[in-house]
Amino acid sequence: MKELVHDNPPLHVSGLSFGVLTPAEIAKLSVVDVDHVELYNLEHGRRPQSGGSIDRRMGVSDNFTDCETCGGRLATCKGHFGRIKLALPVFHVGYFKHTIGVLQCVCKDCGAMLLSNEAKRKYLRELRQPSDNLRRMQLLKNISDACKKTRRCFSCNALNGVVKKNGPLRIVHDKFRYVGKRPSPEKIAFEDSFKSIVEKYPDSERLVKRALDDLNPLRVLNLFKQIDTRDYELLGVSAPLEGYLWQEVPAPPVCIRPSITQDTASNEDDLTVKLTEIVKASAQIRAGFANGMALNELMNQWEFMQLSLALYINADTPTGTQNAPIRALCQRLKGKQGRFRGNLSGKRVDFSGRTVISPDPNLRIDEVAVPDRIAKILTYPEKVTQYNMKKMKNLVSNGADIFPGANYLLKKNEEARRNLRFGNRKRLAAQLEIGDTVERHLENGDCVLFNRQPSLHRVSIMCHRVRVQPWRTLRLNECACTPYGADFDGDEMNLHVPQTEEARTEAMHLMGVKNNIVSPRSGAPIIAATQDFISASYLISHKNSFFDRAQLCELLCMMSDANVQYDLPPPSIMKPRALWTGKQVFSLLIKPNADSKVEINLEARTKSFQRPKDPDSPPEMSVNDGYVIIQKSEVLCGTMEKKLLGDGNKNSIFYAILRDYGPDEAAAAMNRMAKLCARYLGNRGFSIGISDVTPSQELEDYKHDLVTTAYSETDTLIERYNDRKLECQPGCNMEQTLEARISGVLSQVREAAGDNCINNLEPHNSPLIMSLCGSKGSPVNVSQMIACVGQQIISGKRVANGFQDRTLPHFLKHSRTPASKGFVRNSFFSGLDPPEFLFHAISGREGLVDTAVKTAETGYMSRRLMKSLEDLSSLYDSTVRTSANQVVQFQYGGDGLDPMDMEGDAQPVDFERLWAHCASQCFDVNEIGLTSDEVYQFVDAEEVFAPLRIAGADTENLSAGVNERSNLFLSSLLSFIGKKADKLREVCGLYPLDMASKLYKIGRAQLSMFIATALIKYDKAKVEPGTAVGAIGAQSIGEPGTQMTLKTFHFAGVASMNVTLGVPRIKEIINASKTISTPIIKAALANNRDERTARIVKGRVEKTLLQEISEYMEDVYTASTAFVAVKIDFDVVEKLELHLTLRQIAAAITRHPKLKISDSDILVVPSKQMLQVKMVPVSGEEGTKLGSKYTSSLLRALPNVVVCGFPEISRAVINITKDNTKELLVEGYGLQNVMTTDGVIGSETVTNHVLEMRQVLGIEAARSSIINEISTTMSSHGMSVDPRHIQLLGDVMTFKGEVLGITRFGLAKMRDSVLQLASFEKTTDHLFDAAFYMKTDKVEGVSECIILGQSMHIGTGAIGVVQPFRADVSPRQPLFEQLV
Amino acid sequence: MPANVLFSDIFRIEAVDPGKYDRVARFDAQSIANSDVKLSLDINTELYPVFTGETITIAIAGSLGEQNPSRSWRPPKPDEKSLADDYDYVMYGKIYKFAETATNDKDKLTLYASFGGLLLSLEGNYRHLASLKQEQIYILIRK
Repeated sequence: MKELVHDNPPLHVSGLSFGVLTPAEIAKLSVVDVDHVELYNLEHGRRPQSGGSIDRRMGVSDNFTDCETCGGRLATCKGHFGRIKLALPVFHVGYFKHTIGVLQCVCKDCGAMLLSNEAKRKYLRELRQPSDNLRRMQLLKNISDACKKTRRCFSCNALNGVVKKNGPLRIVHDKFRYVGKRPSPEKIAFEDSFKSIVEKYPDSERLVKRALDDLNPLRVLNLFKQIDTRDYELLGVSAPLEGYLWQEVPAPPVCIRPSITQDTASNEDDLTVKLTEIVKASAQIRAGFANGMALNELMNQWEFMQLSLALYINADTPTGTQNAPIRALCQRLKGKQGRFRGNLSGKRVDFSGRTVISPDPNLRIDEVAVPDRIAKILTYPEKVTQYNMKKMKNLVSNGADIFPGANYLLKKNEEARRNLRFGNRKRLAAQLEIGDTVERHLENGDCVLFNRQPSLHRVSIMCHRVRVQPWRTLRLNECACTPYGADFDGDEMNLHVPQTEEARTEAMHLMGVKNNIVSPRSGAPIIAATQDFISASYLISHKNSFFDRAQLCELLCMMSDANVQYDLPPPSIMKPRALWTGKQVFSLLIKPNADSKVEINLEARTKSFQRPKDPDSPPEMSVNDGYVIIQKSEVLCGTMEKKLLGDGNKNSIFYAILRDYGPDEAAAAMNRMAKLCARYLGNRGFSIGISDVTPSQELEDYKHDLVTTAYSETDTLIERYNDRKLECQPGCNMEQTLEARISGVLSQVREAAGDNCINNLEPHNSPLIMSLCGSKGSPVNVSQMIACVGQQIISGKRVANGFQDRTLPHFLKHSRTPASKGFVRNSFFSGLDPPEFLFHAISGREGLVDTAVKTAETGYMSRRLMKSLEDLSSLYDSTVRTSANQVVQFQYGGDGLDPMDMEGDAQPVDFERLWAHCASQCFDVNEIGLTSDEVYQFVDAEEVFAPLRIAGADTENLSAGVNERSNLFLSSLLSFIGKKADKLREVCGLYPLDMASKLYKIGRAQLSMFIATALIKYDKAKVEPGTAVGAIGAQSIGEPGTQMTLKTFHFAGVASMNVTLGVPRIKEIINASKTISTPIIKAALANNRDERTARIVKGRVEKTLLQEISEYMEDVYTASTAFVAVKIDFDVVEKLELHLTLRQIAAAITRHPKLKISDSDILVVPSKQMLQVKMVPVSGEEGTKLGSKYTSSLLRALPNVVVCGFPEISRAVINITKDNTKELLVEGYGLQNVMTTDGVIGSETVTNHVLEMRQVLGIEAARSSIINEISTTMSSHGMSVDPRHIQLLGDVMTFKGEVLGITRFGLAKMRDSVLQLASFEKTTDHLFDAAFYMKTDKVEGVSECIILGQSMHIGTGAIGVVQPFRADVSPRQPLFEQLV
Repeated sequence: MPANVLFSDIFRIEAVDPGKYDRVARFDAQSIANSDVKLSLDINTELYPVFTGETITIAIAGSLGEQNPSRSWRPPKPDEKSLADDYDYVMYGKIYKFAETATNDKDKLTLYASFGGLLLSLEGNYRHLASLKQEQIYILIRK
């Protein structure tokens, strides 16, 4: 009988509480009192000393002895604790800050809280209100602040001053800090107490002033004992405070601090050494108590014990002495290799393998070839059933060494498995029973997970099917390289074998290669043809390729291992010879025979599309066959290349198949393509030689002419620069202008040479073919080989001067010629001359350094993003929440759609493509099309549009309920159909009827198919409940980071306005940095046409200094007075459109915060256009003498007086946009100032500084600013990231109401889980905090669940059973009894 | 004119442009009888070279007259009668699009056909092209 589903779910941890052990608990845990200094008892053959710190009662650390407590060996005994009783209490280094915190809050005399009763009641009331942990911590901080302000204890009226740290692990109380000039009686008493000492030792008098009250651990302990337990709540603790001081120390089991014995000497672990030190110090103090000891000596011992214990906990404690750092308890937890990140969050696993990878186009894309040597080691436990009995018997009898075999056998009633390497396998095979488990070798078709580090996104680990093959490498189809980022220059990859059927099915469905053809980042295909496949496809589908019947049949066999029926189409050329074209081969590749249902329709431009000769012809008449039309899987025109086969493109053939006919068909077509291309290219050959890169004589001459003219052009530019006659570009100085002009001229040289070279190469040239079809290399690479390498750029500039005023001693000083600044006129073919070679090497080195720096930086960025977003998931109510149920978004991305299913540009359906598809699929020559009115009637009758017809329906509404469709989608669908109907009406009105019907037709079937399919696609695109949208979003933002090169870009039109882009910019945004490297405010102008008004506004905004508008400044001394004369140059003032008067300038000088010049001290002399700033004598003792210091400081400060504009704005540039409107780009901070400036439209003015947006415009503005900034950065690097991911990030950074960076500070404000924070950064700080405040971790998030080995509540673990589980405690009746 | 011929005309070749291809070329031709009928067509010049100024007869047919019952194409038997016998160069393809002419002429239209990637564009008065529909066709050429 089939077993019923049993419902005894395994127990799970529902929470983890942190705290400290009381001495009683330590006593209960421990099996031995460690009080002996010796480690080994030398008299008894070097066995561990009883009572020493490696007492065998605490367990053992070698394989030969038994634990004296439980009798187990190292493998079975997990160890036992001991304890050390300290002779005197000491501070705990982890709680040292907390201890000081408590001391600051209580009276140092009586231990009462330093709060009045009213204040206590008020705070208690606030504390007891339900709130989250973050608010509680804030409240506790407020309480502590309030206590610190109290001067006298409310209960005993004792003076309380400042408690502070004084040296390592020493606390002092500065009792009289707040006592004023009139001394209080306490202070007098305190000072009097030193009298006798001072009398005795007069030298010590100067020390008396610095005497402070020492709060030693013993005093603190006694004070803590005095603290009323009712005040604990206000302090935020609940355990007895004495626990936070060391009185007894637990000694950890020996097995975690093993001794390493070599010959006779043994090497003890750092922890053991420290423990022994502590025991020794404690014993000496205790002996001192018993036998008497100098106080000095005792204090030294106490301090030594204090320090040892601190180092035992945390080796980073500052001690003053420099010893070799030990691996203390904190160090064991911390860092990448520490317990949290190295052992708890990520573990070493069984059933895995790793070796070098190599390519094999003969494998299917979802296969991985596993070497038989690996297959014989990795196993899968398969249950014996009646159906596989025969196979299993064979496997068992083959044993471990013969493939296919099995390594172990677990009989159903036995505990231990049997090794099939030994014993009588024949007999075991014969005795095999149903229900036994055979750990068999991997075999073809098994599921394995395949992974390559760095695992930057989820497709870095995918589920493949095994194909066992000879030799030693793991092999995969080249199409599957892109998601892993793998190449075959020695890369290694890992293999993992899931061990249960559940794991296999889950892996296959969620991680299967076929189910991950599209990237979750943008929905574009990521598994697609690469390199050789594209080259071969280009060659096959080229217009020149014709195949006779034999060749065609060979190609068809190649693409399918000769096991598919192909319906041969009639040849394209029937006479004089039957010849098929390459496009027909591709048609058959997509749809091999009539039984195949794959009929795709596609129109797309290729990468190298050139317009047809006749500009009125449709694009498919392109001169280079650069426009692809596929109708009903028939390739009508166009050459196959990167855009049609490659990754990252939604116009791809495979993407079309995938969307309309599912992943199996797409994968099958890709398999056919891989096989065809690899084998075709193998037959045809495709190589490159010196002749491919030899330039023709014409090209050489052309290049020579180009370079000489460019050189003379630059020479004139340099000459004009030297004569200071060069006209500056807006916003640039003369040098920048020169550089920009020269770069312009030189880049044109390379471009022109490159174009000429590309256009005149013969079409069989291999590098040309590769660059044209996009398989490898760009036209620039080709022209660098053949024509000219071009300018070498180092950090955005031409080569800098490494010698004095020149780049190399080969050139003249101050030379700015192209050759001296890194222009390489040679090609790689002609060879670089020595300076050129050096410049090229410098530039190359920069690239290498850049990549190295970038990988480390983006890795850390990805980790931070992941930690902040890991536990976000979309739930059944369509909200996105954290694991603690905090709502981050009410609907994922605003519309609840999955980026992976986006067909258009972040839209679920590409209407145009679908429309064309439906038109082609429903095409019937004889059908009479609908009229436009009929189309409207048809649509009006459709029920799916009912939500739009409700009165007052919001057609712009993006969101949709669980079983609804969004109004925006429906209305966009409707308006699309409307547009088509209007087009139909237009065509019908223009042309005779039977001609119009040929030109444009909308069929009834087509229309209904269109609507139905669009809706199905929309419904399918909804994000599934449980999806880990956060993790996917984090990866989608982190992964493109690795591909971004650090460089800055220019704003269009304005050469000098640089914006930081790339990784540094992304970093700035997600860190929520206060200062960013290029803050730019984009101000819209009220009058955006007129240049002059723009300049006026610019003048108002831009910071203008007095020196910029003054002709001269000089100090004038006469008999009666002395002043600084400032002559204002009103020509400049007018040119800058500043509209300043002398009075206004004078007022600006008086506003200067430091100069403190009054109105009356400035004499305005309008006739001379001059200001006379009086030198005021320094007030004070020296009378009326003028300080020369004052004069010079005035002369120094005056030029830098800001006369108009905003001080935080360095400059503003007028930007002329494409449609000739003008806007102001302002560099600097101060959005509010710019917004409120006259002539600026405040409501359209934005800055790229997120925090300023938050400050001025609020949190929603900050959110959209984050989203916009990240999108622009991504798109300027050509990375397509779905806006939904970026929106999620924006929401996570702002959902708390303030802008939180993705850093440890931000994360601590977003999450409350101790384990999550501890596994991120500052591990031990979080743990000590948690223990002090007695925090509880509810184990809800991803990190916590992984650390505790539980299934997480995301994805397939999102389902919870609402029915409460009640344990069935009554005895159960056997089934047979129930039947009676 | 046999029944299966849908269009037939005599053209004079105005220009032949091989572009960057060495086996195919695109030629533009003008009908001699009807001044408004123009075509441009890609053909395999290796098999059938054409030159500017030549006159050629072009016919478009719906079938060649033979029966081809199987799903896969079979070469014609030697004794089989076919429309192709009368022509030198025959291609098989599909009319995939009708479009307005560039001048938006009220009764002129252009049809586009692809013969395995070799394209034909045929412009003319819609009455001349009335029998051509969006379907599989053969194009037959003789000098």
